[in-house]
Amino acid sequence: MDPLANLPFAKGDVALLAPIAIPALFGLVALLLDLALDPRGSKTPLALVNALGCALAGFAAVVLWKGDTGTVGLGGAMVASGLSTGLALAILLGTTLMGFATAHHGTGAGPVRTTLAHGELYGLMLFGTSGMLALVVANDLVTFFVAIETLSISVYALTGADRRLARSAEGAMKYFVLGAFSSGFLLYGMSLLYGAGHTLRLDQLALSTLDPSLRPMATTGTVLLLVGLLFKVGAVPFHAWVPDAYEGAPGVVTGYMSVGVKVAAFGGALLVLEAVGRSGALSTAGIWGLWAVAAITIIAGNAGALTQRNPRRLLAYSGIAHTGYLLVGVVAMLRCFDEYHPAADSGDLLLASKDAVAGVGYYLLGYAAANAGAFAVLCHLERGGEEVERVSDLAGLARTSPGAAVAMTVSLVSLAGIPGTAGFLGKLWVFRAGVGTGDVGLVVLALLASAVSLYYYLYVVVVMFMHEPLPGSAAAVAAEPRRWASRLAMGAAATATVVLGVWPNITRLLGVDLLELMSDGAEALL
Amino acid sequence: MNDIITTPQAVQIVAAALFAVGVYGVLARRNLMIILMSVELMLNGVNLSLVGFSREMAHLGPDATGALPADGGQVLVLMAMAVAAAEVAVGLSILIAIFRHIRTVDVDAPRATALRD
Repeated sequence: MDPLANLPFAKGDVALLAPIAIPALFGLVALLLDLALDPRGSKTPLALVNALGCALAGFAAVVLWKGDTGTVGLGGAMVASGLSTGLALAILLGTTLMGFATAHHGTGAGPVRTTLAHGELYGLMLFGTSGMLALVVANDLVTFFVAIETLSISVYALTGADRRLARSAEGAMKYFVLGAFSSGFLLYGMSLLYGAGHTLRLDQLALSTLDPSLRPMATTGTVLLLVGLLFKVGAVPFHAWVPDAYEGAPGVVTGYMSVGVKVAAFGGALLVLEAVGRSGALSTAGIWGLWAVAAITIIAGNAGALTQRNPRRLLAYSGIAHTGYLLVGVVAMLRCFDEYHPAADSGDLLLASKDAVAGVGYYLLGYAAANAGAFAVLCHLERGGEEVERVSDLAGLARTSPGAAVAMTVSLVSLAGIPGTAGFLGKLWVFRAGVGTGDVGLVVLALLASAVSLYYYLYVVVVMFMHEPLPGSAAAVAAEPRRWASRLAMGAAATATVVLGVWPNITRLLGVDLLELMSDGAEALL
Repeated sequence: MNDIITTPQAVQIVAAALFAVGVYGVLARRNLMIILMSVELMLNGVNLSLVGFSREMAHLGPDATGALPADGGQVLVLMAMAVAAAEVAVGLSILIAIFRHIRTVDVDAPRATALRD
């Protein structure tokens, strides 16, 4: 008798788990490899391990997580669809690029003042990535909770990675206390949903017909769950930690969390909201509540960014604004569950909602490329552990390192949503879906806010190209010729941003059609 | 007497009260150590609520997927306890990192950033 026959694992379960397990294994490799490296030297071997782990995980996700009906496994605890694959690729792109960007941290001429431990940095980045990948395939609230905590705990530790800086510890503490607080709400929401729906499985919850007397409990649970999720994506009024954590954390960590945590949390939010929306636990009032959160987030994010002079704080507020734009897509997705919608039960509404899911996926992909690019430039300009702290430090960058200035410009232009970049296509897709579901007011607000955002994005471009370098600033110090890894990261991010914006179908040559992945995922979800 | 304290409603009320005490502690106390303890209180309130729901579902048979509804809550509680332990380990290390910089764990102390570097 085959001794393996009684194992609770099927081969399909291993296939579903492989893309999640690979980054964690490579995280262990990075931790051990760091012991063999010169503590003062370049960390390119670790960056290569990081990239290899992400590439293998990406390959596994593309090969194993296919299908518009969704791959079910592990007794239904996980379901993978095209959307999971697309979001996994965005997360892995961010981790790879940030790994390369920080490979030369603290090296080069001049005094070195850094306490960043790179073995732990890469290890935690890869462990967190593994949690993010689990979040985008979660089909069970247990999986969902463990995944979101795996990524959160890694990022709490990463935020405080630079132990020399008080502001790093302060940012970590703020993020940790508010994060743990919001986890409590998240878990209580899950408990109430479990009590009302009698299941923790998302697909079962979606199918369950809630007892009318239990509906208030389910709605309360959904609201508490949403509080926890909105915190993770940095939506107003749960955004207070974002600027401090982004400013306090080392640049590489900020880049990593601005990409990975946001992509994964939005992926998880789509899965959970689909289930609660279908079960009827999220009432029309709840959808309008999310509408209001989206509007306030767009306004507050853009208003906050206008006055920022620290590039990481600027990108923090820009990230809040982008959360708002993405919430437009989430609201549009939920409209198809709104029984009081004027176009309820019409095929057009469902089509627009599907469009919204695919749009949010594509938006996240473009956002990942552009944001990783911007942070890769900031990491490239770090000298001996000193980060770029003022936008004015970038003055004259176009003259001293034109490549970095161009990469930064591409990223910022994409974040602003100018045609020819991934950011434009993503916004177009999400906002079109918003118009399709009748949320024209919200879309108009988002468009106006995008126009305002041009000011603070282009201000940085003007400083880089038209101002004289300040003596002693990051831009004025001669470019470090040996920093090939961060150059690679900047180049790859800028290329990805342009390719995704101009010719997204070209990825077919690599065996993966991103546009198809997103629409398949939307088809499987709704 | 025994019947009163084990009714499903009573369990949920105690759980909600524990959670609320935790929320109050996080919002009102200024010592980071107490805030950490309050977060744990919130999570334990939720654990109690999950176990209570699980107990209410003890009489339910297997659902469409063949799983017993009562099992889910128990499993989530075990996971939540493991996660809370991991979380508090990271939280305490961050607390020590803060203490090394500003020599206090009071969140109302002069802002850490004022003593930057």
